[in-house]
Amino acid sequence: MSGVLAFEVARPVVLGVVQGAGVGLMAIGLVLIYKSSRVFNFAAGEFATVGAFGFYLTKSHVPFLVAALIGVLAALGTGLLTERLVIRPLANRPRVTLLVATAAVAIFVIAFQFLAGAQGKLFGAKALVSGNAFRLVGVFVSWQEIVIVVVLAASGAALAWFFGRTDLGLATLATSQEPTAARLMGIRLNRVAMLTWGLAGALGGVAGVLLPPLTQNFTPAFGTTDLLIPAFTAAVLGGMTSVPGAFVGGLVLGLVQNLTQFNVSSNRLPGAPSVAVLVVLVVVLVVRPTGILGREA
Amino acid sequence: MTPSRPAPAWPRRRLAPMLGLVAALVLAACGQKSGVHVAAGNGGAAGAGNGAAISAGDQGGPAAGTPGAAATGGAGAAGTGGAGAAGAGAGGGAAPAGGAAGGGATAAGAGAGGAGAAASATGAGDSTGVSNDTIAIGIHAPATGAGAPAPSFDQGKDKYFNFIGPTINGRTAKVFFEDDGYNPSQAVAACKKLVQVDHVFMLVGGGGTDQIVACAQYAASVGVPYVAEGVTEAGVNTLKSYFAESMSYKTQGTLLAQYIKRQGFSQVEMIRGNTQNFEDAHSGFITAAKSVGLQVARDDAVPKDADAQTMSSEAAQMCTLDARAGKVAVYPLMSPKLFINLAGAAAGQQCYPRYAGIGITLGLNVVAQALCPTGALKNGASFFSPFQGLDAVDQVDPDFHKAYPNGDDIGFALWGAEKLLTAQLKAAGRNLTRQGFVAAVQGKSFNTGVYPAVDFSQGHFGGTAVHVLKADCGRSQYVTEAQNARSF
Repeated sequence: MSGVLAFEVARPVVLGVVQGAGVGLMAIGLVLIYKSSRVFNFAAGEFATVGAFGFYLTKSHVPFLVAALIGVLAALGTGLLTERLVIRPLANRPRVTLLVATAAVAIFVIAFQFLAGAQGKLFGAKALVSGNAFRLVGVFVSWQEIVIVVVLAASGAALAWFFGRTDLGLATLATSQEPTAARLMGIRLNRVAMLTWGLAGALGGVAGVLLPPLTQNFTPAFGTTDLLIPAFTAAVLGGMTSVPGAFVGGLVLGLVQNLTQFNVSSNRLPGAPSVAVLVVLVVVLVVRPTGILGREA
Repeated sequence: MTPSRPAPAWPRRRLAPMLGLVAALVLAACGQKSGVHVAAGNGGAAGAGNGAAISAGDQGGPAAGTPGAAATGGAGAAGTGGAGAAGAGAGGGAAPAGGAAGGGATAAGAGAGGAGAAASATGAGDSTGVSNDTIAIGIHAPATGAGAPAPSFDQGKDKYFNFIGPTINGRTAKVFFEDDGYNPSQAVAACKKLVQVDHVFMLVGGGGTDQIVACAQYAASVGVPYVAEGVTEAGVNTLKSYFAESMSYKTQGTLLAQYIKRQGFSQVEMIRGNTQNFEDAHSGFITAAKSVGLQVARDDAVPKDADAQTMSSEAAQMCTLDARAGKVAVYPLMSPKLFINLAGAAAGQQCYPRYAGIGITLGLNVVAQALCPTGALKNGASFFSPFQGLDAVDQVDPDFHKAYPNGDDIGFALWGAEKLLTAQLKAAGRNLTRQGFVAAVQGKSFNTGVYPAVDFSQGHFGGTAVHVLKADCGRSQYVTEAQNARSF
């Protein structure tokens, strides 16, 4: 009985939480940008890829934590550059123009990776902290997985506090809702935009540093190919305007995928986890169009 | 007071675009359905036709016929190629009227009665891609897209042909290479380019089941000979112009079950990429495993393009307590990318099963190089292969390192394939035609020392044995564990 419980419930729950946490990290970055500027950021995946490259290309030359910091800073820099060179010049254009511009940023970064000779290559990614932390109901939980969950929880809490409790957070929200009035109140819009894009870049970088060790490797553009759509799904599930919602959306996504994958044989229903996610997404949007924790505004 | 809800309207407003989205997804998915791309390809090919290039053998006059008819009919123009032996339809087996159509115009007589019959090795037929001193060969392979980089496909594409020079009945082979991106649609596009733009004589598949099946079917539809490693049987066993140069996966499954049993395992897990083209390999192996007394502990499929998270979950499912204890062998039948993610994720969960399988690409050194540093293969990984590991090269063919000093295993795989192909081209004689090539290979055996001997007397699947490669993480490569094994 305990074996069945471990296999069909406990293991997918643990994995779902861990994977959902990783997706949630990315989703928080998406929500951050959407919340502050109403832009769907298609470049978010490449923030993660840049973070991964920054980390894994330097980790053999500098201490591990320094390399991790370099990865996060590289992604942060990419976020800032995106804001300064692409978003700001297009700030007064329709939102769809900005959306396409972020997609162009992603394509540019991917093309740069290919031009640099990374196309088709695999890059090894060892865990920040190796080994299993504990075994619970037959489920092995690694230190890396614990780090991911803790970082996600901390990020979600910090951002929720930032938007809810600080003047700068309120200024960011005010900017997204009424930029003209915000400017009249003395809020410097460009600084707010830089802050949010930098934060989104840094969050992507954290995901890029933490997630590849789950499979021990990553490929160029993996942030876009492997993470972006799940992150968007999580953000929409949780509510595009809610940072805690992105957190919850990531967890729901991870749990639904894993519980389905473990309990519905692919031989009987190929692609069952994706179908399950689609069903949950549709149900949530029909019942609660703003997402699980999202609100209008 | 509760405001009245516009209840009847909103669900419909939302459901309509959702249904539209689902319909669009279904339509888009049709493009991924097995065979759809091939069907599309056929039409285009027939329209473009090879007819313009078909010249009825070296001595023959230009085939008449319309381009479309020639493409499927197999050029019935007899030319001077020996009376009644001439004929049509060998390659594609398509339009039985091809002979009659081709027999018109300048080509004299003979071809008319040959509908459906294979041309003799010396007879007339379609000699597209063959000149006085060269034979154009088209190779498609996954240089990208499989998750493991393989630029060596391009670099090693013609090392053997360059080494042997103009010794194929006085001709040298000129290779055209196209990256198929490990994608069947891209593979068909690549093969169409090779046939329609580069006007190759024949096509060679370099790896990847779905790509090989897609291109083999396309090649058959336009009457172009196609050779590749053996993969599935189901999609290609009726193609007259297709030759498998190694055992099919289904046949290898029987040997693999014996091999796993011999390694001392009583349980096996099979995890495959979810493609129709693995179905016969899947059912064949499960049957064989049970017949040798192996317990199939798990039998699962993953999406062919599964992401890293899906493979991480699959790894967790794979890593049962028995697998962690080393009691279970795992047979992965999937792309290198999926396998690297699967084994890597398992290693990330401190789980190191013993892997054993048959996929050609899983036994490439790039896979070992990706996985060895993670420790994922520390309990062993063995894969059946049509070519030996680099450790055995000097023993089986010292010329390889002379011709290609820094050649890798992909280079050696191509070397072996081209060596075997050379023997087959030679057998077709100086008067080389597509129909003649098919006729010359059919029913014959070839043994060149690198690939296990092939014997086409029983059909178009010629493989008779396998080599076994095992991961040697001390060298980050696969080494030869056994050669020319016919049973275990």
